[in-house]
Amino acid sequence: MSQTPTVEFPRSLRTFTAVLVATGVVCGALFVGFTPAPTWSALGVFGALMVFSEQRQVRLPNGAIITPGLMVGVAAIVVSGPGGFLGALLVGATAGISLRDLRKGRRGFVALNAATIALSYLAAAAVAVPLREPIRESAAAGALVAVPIALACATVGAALVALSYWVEERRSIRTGFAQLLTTFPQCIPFALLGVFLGRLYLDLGWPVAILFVVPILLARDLFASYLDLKAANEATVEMLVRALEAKDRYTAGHAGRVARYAQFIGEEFGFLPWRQERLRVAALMHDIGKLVVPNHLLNKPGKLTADEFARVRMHEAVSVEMLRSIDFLAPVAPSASGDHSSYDQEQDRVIEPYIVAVADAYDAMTSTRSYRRALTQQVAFAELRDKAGTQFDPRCVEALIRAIERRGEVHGAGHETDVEEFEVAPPVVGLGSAGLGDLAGERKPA
Amino acid sequence: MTRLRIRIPAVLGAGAVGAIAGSALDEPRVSRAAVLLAAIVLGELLVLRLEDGTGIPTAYAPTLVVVAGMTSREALVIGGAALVIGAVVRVDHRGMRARLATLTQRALVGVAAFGAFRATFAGFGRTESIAAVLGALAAAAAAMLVVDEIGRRAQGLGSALTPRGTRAWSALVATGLLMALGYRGVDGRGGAALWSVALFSIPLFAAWYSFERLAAVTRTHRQTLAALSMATEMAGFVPDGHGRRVADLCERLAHEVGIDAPGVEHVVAAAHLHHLGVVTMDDPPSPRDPDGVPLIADVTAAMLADIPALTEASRIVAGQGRYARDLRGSGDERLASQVLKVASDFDDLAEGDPSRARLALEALYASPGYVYDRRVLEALEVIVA
Repeated sequence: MSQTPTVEFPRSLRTFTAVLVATGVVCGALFVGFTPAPTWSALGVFGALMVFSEQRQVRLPNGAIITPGLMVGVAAIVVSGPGGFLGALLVGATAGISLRDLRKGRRGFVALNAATIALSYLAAAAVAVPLREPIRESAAAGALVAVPIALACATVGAALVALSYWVEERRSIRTGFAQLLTTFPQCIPFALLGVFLGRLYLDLGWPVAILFVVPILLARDLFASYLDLKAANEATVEMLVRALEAKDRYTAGHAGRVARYAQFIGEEFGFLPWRQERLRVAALMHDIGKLVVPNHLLNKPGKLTADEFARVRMHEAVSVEMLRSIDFLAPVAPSASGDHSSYDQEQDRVIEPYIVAVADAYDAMTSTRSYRRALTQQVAFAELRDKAGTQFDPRCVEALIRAIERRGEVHGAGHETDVEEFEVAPPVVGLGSAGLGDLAGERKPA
Repeated sequence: MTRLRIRIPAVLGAGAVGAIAGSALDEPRVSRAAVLLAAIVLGELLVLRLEDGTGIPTAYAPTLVVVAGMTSREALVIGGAALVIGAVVRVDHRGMRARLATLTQRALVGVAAFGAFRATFAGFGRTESIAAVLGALAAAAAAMLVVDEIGRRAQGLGSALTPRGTRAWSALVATGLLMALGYRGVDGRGGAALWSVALFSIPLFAAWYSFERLAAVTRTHRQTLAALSMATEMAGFVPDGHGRRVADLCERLAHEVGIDAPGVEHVVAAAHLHHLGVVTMDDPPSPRDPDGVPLIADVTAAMLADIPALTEASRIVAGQGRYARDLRGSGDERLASQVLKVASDFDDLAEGDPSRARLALEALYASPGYVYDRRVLEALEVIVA
């Protein structure tokens, strides 16, 4: 729910932040005057826990942030009893304090986050404080109340953040709010845990708070290690792709584009994220076996001899072997095989190799190669459709065309992004061009 | 994972049926027993995976609930049933003998924890105070850890007290203590019965998920590095199996010379990739050419340097192309580079043939003193012997 401090604090947000902070301060003053004080020692414990846990946020690849902060906040509200409103404001404000931002002098972001989270927790307190007796008396009631607590907190938080997006960038409040409110389901378990942590704290004291955060922080640390190692593995694969493109400079950007088109098709098929990820890596690595092909063969202008052609084709077997040796990619290892440039409806259970074959062929046709210039998108589409059912899986062909048309993208002649300066200008047509021979026969030997 | 997809819902379903049956019969003991039994059996399926692929069962957390919250008779019935059912449903590919060994280990862990809890609680005079209950639970957890560790050694498994294992035990003990405290309460306060088992399993489940993801991505990363080492072999630059053999030898050498666990990972990564740069070169020298080694090492190191997780490996590879006397950087880095150089040169000479190991070692010893670090050669001698 916190904002991402990537740049200078925007001038347009200053007034907005001041209003939020002032609202929090006024509410705080009213609660000091009209509600009982919370238990300061308990609030101190949860405030410290909050600072500790908020410094250990996990940022997911999609930009979302996971933090146990809500759990600690709800526990603080439960523990504070009738003083829960003030407790919510104070612990929420603590949650917004990022030591890293303070060290970097980003006080504006700290103030905005602190005020946003404090007011969100205040909404949670508006549900929890009136229901504090049932929460204390019945575990079942506590579990039930956790849902509206999470809803109140998520709703107010989403509304304030959406409003800040509108103030800063004039982004639609309704769209922003709807997107942000999707965090609601992940708030429920944290609210549930917070309710029970608070109950147990009231009964058994501070040791339970310490015991409670240990597995959560360990899970967080391990998950962060997982994300780091995952990023390292992706970087390794990308390093390989760069090494490959350094060898075969006339195919610059090819692997990345094939991976992108393959994901277009996967998206059309409704692949789950893990399957999209596997498809992306397999597509990136589909030519990885070229690493074993000598550079002079990959960059040879003109036709290859039969021996040279066999040597170049060896890369497919090597690619398959390399993919097969990685458990995660083994089921889609045939994606790297030239065998999937001929479609056989009966043989395979996984569709990924056919997806990569279509994506690969489309990019080959819409890119300039040493032996011919890029074709237009219309010609490439026509070629794919012409070979659908024999060379290509028709479902993959239609999915790719649909995805590209929906995005309004144009590739091919006149629209290339990675254009290499060729020593000898390629001919306009040549082997492999649409209508002039099978795509599978590209770079046939002399 | 496929087996888990069937067994986990089955265990949860059985637990739910038992709990509902207990409620319908107005027998809360039956409900409690069913839920705790299901929690322990489920914990046998969900293990916290360590670096070496073995695991610690999350069943230890609900076991602490049984130890602290049940009578001797109830504990015996639930523990016995959990042992038998757990032995049947546990995913273990090591055969019947290993299943029986694990069953014995679990039984001993349970008995030790139960005994330690009772003895410590009696030592506190059986007073219902948070200190007494927590103290007794801590003693039970400690007994659990010690007996589990002994059981692992007896089965020929590595110690669980690794960096990941220590985290796993911390999560298990903290959750088990909370579940037990929440289940039984102290002096009539805080007892949320089965709610505590259900709710406090959420953080443990999050920990299990993180362990699983980390184990999976660690395996993928290692396999990716091993696949890359195949590239130089398939291209014919180095003999088949060179990368794997050098990585294995580096791991043993690194342990032998006292490099720490993260350092060992860096050396192994460097070992898999140390010749990779050769595939990008227009006119590559032979990796066996003395003049070619530093060149290939530098090209490879430059490739790896851009990847944050491989910067250590990059430095190790760069150092591998140099003599011991010419190395720069920290002591650990120099040692790691020497581990890689010794392992790679040794494999070039022995080529995986054990009968040539002694001769290869003598050849390395016969090199001028500035080429290799004597500590690494001595470690190699220990391994070869």
